[in-house]
Amino acid sequence: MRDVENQAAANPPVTRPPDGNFNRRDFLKGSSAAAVATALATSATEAQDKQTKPNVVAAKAQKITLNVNGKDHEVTAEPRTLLLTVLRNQLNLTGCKDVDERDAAGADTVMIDGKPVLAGSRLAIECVGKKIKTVESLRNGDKIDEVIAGFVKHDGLQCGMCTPGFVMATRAFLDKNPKATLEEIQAGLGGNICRCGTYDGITKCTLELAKGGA
Amino acid sequence: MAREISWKPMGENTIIGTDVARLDGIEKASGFAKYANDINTPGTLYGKVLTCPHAHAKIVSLDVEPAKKTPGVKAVHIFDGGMVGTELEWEGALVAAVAAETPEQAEDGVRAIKIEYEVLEHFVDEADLKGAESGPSQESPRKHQRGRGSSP
Repeated sequence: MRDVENQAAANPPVTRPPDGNFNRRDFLKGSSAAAVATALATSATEAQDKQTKPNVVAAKAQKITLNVNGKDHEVTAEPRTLLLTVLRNQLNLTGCKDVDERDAAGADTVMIDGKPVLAGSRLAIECVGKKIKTVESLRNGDKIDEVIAGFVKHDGLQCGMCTPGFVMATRAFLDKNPKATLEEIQAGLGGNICRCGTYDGITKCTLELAKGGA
Repeated sequence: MAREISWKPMGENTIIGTDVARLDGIEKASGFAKYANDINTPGTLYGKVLTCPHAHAKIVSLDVEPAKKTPGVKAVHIFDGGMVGTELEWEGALVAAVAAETPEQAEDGVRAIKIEYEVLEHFVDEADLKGAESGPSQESPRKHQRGRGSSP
């Protein structure tokens, strides 16, 4: 790393109320988060950078409330902390997996306000006020969702790492497309990748559920 | 006289061809199964690694003190390959590791490390290798031995 000068603005961290006023652009302009300031700074902010001595200070961690699986939880998050990190490390909901830094595998699929979302693509603070559901919500003791039962019946899993993400994606997909065709299923579950190659079992399970249940 | 040995017809064997219950199926599919990376023991630190971004480089200087002073960082470790003067021979070679209380702080620690590389030449294909072999050999003899693939 040749460039040892830090490029962030010297502004103190902006504490934003976690409500609908959250605006990513303003946050990135005003905060001290190191990596983003240069790329997204407006000319005004850049001029300010050049005048003051740049100093990196990560925007402070703050307590926020996240509604997960029907309950409110108080967690700690820096502005840059991912929802995935909070779910796994603080709420111990490790069903969504931290598999891939490019966040392309779908193993971190959760549902936010009913839509399937990759938890690694969301900042924790931007999920405040939303209803978050993780794969753990599809099981209550011995009671399991039909998708989970179908995966087990058709052996749609091997190592199991991609499976929770697939289960969430399948549940969300079937909620929207209860009578899906094979082509629709293959396209609809295209956001999840499996290295073990369990697509056959997953497709059989989903087809069976789409045709009217196990 | 040879005795004929064969499997029983399918369905008549006691083990072969029978369904085996997927004992870990529900645990895995419901996200309850704990993998190594899922274990959250209180006090667990998170590690990030500084790796060489160059295919071939020498470490000229290394200062990990700024990493040690980064908030949340609890430890910094310099690998054997991270010693000053080491010639690193692939992108991704380990230099140093930082352990901190959150993954984000560990990454801050890695970014705070001051390191200077002398970037050296590296070979990508046969043309590179031929050029090096025919050129003046101020480079170490090891380089010529490293070439893979055919050469006339």
